[in-house]
Amino acid sequence: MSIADDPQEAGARRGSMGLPAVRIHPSNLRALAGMSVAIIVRLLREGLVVRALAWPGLLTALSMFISASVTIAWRSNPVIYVSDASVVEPLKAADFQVFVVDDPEATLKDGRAERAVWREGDKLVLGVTWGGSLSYKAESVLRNLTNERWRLEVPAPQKRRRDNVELRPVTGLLAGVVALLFTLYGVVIGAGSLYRDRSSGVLESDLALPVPRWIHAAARIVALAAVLGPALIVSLFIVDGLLPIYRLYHWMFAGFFAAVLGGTLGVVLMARANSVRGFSGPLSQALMVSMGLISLGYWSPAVGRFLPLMSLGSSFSGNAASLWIVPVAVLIAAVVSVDFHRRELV
Amino acid sequence: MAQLRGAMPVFSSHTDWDGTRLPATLAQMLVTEDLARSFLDGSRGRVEAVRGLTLRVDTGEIYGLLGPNGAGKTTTLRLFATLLRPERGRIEIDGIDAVDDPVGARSRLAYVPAEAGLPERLTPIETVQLFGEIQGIHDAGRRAADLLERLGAANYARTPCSSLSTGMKRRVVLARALIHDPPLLLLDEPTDGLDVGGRRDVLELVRGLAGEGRAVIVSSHIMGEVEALCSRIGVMSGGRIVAEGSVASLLSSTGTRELGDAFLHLTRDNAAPARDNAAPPRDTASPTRENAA
Repeated sequence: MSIADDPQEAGARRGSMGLPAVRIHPSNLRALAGMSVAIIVRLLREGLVVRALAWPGLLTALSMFISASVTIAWRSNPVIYVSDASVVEPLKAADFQVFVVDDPEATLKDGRAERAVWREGDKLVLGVTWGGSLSYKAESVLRNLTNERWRLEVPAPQKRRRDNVELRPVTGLLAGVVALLFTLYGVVIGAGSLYRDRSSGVLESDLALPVPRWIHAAARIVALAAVLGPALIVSLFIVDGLLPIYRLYHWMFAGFFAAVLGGTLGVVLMARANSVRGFSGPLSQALMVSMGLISLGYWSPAVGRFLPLMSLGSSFSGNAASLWIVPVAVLIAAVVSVDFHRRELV
Repeated sequence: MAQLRGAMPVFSSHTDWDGTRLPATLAQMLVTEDLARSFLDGSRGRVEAVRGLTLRVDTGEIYGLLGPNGAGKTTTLRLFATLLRPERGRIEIDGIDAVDDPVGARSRLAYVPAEAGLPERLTPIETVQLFGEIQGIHDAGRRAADLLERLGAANYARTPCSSLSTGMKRRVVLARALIHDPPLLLLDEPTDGLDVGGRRDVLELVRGLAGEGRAVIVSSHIMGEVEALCSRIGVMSGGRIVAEGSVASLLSSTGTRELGDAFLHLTRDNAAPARDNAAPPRDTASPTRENAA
C-alpha cells in the first residue's frame, strides 16, 4: 500500500529510505494557495481569534492613553520655581504656588520642576518642560510684568533613545511578553482550529478533496503565519510607540517564528492524537512542549538561537535569533506536512 | 446460489437482483475486492470494521448500504473515499486504483459525510467556490452559483452556513460535492436530522443526480429511505455484506413481506463487528467470495 497521494507520483511513491515521496506540482501550489485563503478567511471571521489577536495592541494603546491622562493630570499642578523675588507676587496673584530657589534652571533640568523662572542678565527666562495652559498663563503674567514682547521658545523634543542601556531589560521584557503571548495564541489556534474542523466534519470533507494530504497541513501553517505575523508586528510597533524597544526587529523575527512554530506544534499534536482524546489533552501537550522549548532556549542560548521557538527564549537572555531559524522552520513545516500526509485523521 | 450461515442468502455484487451475471459492457464505477479494515479499540481490542468486502456499483445506479449502527457503513464509505487505507483488498474507482492513486480516485468521486462539514463562518457561495478553486475549476464562482441555484439554495447563497437550516445545509453540501462534476457520489446518512419535507427533497435530488448517469452509494439505517431510493441494496452487518440485491429479491429470499423484517432476519446473527487480538483471519467469511466459490 502506498502512502503517497500525489497522482503524478504513480511510479515513485517512496524515497530510497522508505519515506513518503512528496513532490510539489504546480496544481498542488494552486490548491495550497486556495486552501490557505479559505483557512485565513475562516480564522479572521472567528470573533474569538480576532479579539485575541487585537487585544495586546489595544491594551497597549489603552495603557498609553491612561499614562498620558495621568501625566496631564499630574502636570496640571500650578507649581513654579523662581529665583527672582520680583515675580513672586504677580505669579501668586495668578494662583501659582511659587517656590523660591537658588537655581530654578537646575531644578527644571533635573526634572523636579515643570516650570521655572530665572534671570539671565537683565532678561527674565521662563523654562517649561510641558506646554499646556498653565505654562501659557505663566508666560502671560511675566509678559505683563516686564511689559516686553517676547517669544516662548519650546525646545525640540529629545530624540528617543532606542539604545538606552537602562531601558533595555524593560523593553526586552515587554516585547518578549508580547511575542510569548502570540506563541500561546499560535498553539491554541493551531490545535483548536484542527480540533474544531475534525469534530464538525469540515476536515473529513476537506480530506476528500482530490489534493495530496500534505497540502492540508501546509495550508494551516501558511494561514497561521498570515494571521499571526501581522498581528504580532502591529502589536510590537504599538509597544514601540510607547517605549522604544531595543532590537525591535529581532524580537519581531524571533516572535514571528515562535508563534508560527507554536501553531505548527498545536496542529501536529492534535493531528497525532486520537480523535477520542478530545481537545484539552493534545492542547496541554502542545503548550507544555512550546514552553519547554522556549525555556531550553533561555538556558541554552548557544543552541537555542539557531532554532525557532527556542530562539524566543534565547532572545530573553539577550541572544538575538540567528537567520538559520528560517531554513530550520521551513524544514520543520515540511516534516509536519509529511507526517500529516501519512495520517488518517478521521 | 451459495448460502452463508445456514439459510442466509447471499447475492453477489457481480450479479443483478435476478441473479444473472451483469453484462461486461456496463460501466463499472466502483469495484472492490476482499476489502478489509480493522481498528484498535481500547476496551474491545482489535475490531474488524470491514471484512472481506467485495462490491460493484455501476454508472447510473443508486446503491444502498443498509445496516445497523456499527455495521461498518461509514468505514466502508471512508475506504471508498480514500480517507482510510484498507489493510487488504482492492478498490477501483472509475478504472483508477484508489490504493495506488488516491488523489486520482478522489477526483472521480464526491464524499458527503454524515455531518454537514460546512465551515460556519463562510457563506454557501464561498464554500462551494473555494472547493472549486482548490481543484482548479475554471470559473468556479459561476459554477458554484449555478449549482446552488439548481439545488434550490440560491436564496441563501450569502447567508453564513452557521445560520442555515439542516435541510439547506444538505443542499449546500451536495452543491459543494458536485462542483467538480464527479461520476461517483458517496453519501453517508444523507437525510440524517432532516424533517419529512427535507428528507423528500434530498431523496429527489439524489434521484436526479443518478438520472444524470452518476453512480450513487447511500448509507443509511432507515428502511423506507433505502427502499424508495435504491435500485440495489447491500445489507451490512458485522463489517460484511450479508446480503445484496433488490428489495424484491431480499424479501423473497428471506420469506418476509417488509424490508424491515428482512433486515432483522439478515442482521440478527451479525450484530457486532468481529473482534480479534491479532491480524484479521484470512478465512473470514466473505459473502461474495463464498458466492464466487
